[in-house]
Amino acid sequence: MVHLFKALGQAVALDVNSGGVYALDELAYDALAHLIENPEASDREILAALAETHDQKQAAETLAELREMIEAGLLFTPDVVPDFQVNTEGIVKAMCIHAAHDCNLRCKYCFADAGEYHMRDRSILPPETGKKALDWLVKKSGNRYNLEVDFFGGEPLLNFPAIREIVAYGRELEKKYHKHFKFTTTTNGVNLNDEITDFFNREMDNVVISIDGRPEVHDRMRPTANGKGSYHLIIDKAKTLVERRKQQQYYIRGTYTRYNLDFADDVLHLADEGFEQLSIEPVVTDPKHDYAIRPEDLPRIYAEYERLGKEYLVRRKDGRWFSFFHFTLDLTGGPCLQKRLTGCGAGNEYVAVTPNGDIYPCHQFVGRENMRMGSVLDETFDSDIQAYYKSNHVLAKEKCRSCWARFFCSGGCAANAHAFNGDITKPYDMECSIEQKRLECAMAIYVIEHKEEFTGDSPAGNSGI
Amino acid sequence: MKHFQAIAQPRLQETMKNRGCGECQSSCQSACKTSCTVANQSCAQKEQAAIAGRDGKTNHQANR
Repeated sequence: MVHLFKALGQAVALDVNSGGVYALDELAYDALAHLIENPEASDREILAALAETHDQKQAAETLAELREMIEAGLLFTPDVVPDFQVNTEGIVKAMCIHAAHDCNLRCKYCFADAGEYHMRDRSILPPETGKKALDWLVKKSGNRYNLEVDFFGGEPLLNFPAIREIVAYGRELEKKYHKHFKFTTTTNGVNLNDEITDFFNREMDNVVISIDGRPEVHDRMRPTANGKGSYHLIIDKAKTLVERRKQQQYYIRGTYTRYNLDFADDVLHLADEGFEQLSIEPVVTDPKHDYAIRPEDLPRIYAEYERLGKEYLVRRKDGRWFSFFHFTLDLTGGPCLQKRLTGCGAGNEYVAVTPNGDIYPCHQFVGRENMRMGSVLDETFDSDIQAYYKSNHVLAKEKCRSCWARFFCSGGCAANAHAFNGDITKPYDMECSIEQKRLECAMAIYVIEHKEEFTGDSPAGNSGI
Repeated sequence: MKHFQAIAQPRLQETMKNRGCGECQSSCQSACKTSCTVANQSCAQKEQAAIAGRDGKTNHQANR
C-alpha cells in the first residue's frame, strides 16, 4: 500500500509497510496517483494521461524512475506480518498512579469528571498504597529495566508528600532489583512552588503541565473551584519550572474544543511565552456538550493544522524553534514494528492504579463499569483481561487493516474506542480523521526540513540502489 | 533520481526480526493522555546510541 498526499504544499508518498517516505515533484505525484488509481495501467496509458499536462520527455523520465523504485521494492512493499502475535508474556512495565482523585480546578471537559472519576470519589492516595503499586510493578516487570510511572489525578500535587515518599521508595527498589524508574507528573500547575519545582527537576524524567493556550481560552474551560480563571495562577510557575529545567523533558499540554477551533493561535501563544515543548490535543467528550468537536468541524480543523504547520516551519528556521508533539516524527529512528503494532499497551503493559489500589487498563478507564482488573493491595490481577487487551493490536482491528496510518497510530486509543463504540477493537472515527491529518502534516514537515539533505543523484537519495 | 527523493527508508518490515526489546516509552505516558501516536516515540536502543554521540541532547531536540 502507498499513501500519496499533499500537505503544506508538499507532495509526499508513504510506502506503508516499509515506512519509506519520499518527496515528489508534480510529475512524480501525477504519475504515482495514476498508477494507484489504475494499478494495471500500462506505461503507454500512464504516459498518455501525463501528456495532457506535462512535457512528454519529462513524463517518460519520471515513469522510468517510478518503475525502477517499484522494481527495487521501495514502493508497494507487501504485508510482512500476517500472523503477528504480541510477545510480552504478561509483563507490565508502565503505570499511571492516581495520586489524588480530588482537584483544585473544575475543568469543564475533564474526563475524570473534575476528579471524581464518575464515582463520587475525591480520595487521596495513601503513600503505602503507592509503594505497594511500585512493588507490584517491579514484580510484574520481568526482565524490563526501564519502568515508567506517571503521577496523575485529579490533581496529584494535592498529595505531594505522598509522591515524594513513593519516589524515594522507588529509588530504593531500583538498587535492590536493578530497575530504573522514569517518573512523570501530570499537573495543572496551580500548586507548583520552589520546593516542588526543584523536586520535579531532580526526580521527574518528564513533567506535563496543562495549559490550553491564550488566557481567555484557558480560563473558559479551566476555572478554579470558585469559578475564576486559573491561567494567571499557573503561567509564571510553569515558566520558572521550564527555565530551571533548561527546556528539557517536559510538555505544556493543552486541550482544544469547539470553542477554539483556531487553536493554532493557542499553540503559538504558548511558543511566544517561551515554551518549546508543546502538545495540544482535541477534546474527547460526550457529543451532547457545546464544546464537543463535531464531524462538520473537521475541514476547519484540517485547515488549522495546515496553518499551524506553515508557521511552525517558519519559526523553526528563524530562531523561534519549538516542538509540537503531533508534528514530531522520527521517520528514521522511530520505534520498531513490534511497538508500532502494539501501541500504547493499555491493559497489557500499561495500567492505572487508583487511590484505593484498584487496577484499571489505563487512566481513562478508571471508574468505568466492569473495567477493574485487580488490586495492588491483594495482588489480584485478571490475566484474562490482560490477554484480551494484548490481543487488541492494530492488525486485529478490521478498520485498521486497510488504513495507511496503522503503523503510526497503532490502532488509536482503546479508551476512546470503548467510550464511543463500546468495543476496544473499534476505533473512534473522529480520532482517526484528526490523527491522519496530523500525520500528513508531520510527514510533510519532516520532508520539507530534511529534503535539502538529500540532493545526490542516487535513486531516491539515500536508498542505496 | 530527479522526481522522487527518499527522505526516510526505515525498512520497518526488517525490524520485526528482533521482536522488540520492550524498553521504549509507553506512548500515552509521554504527553497526550488522550490519544495515541506511537510513531513519534523513539526507539530506546537507537536513542541511547544517539545520546552518546549528541552530548545528551534529547531526540526532540535533535533537529534543532
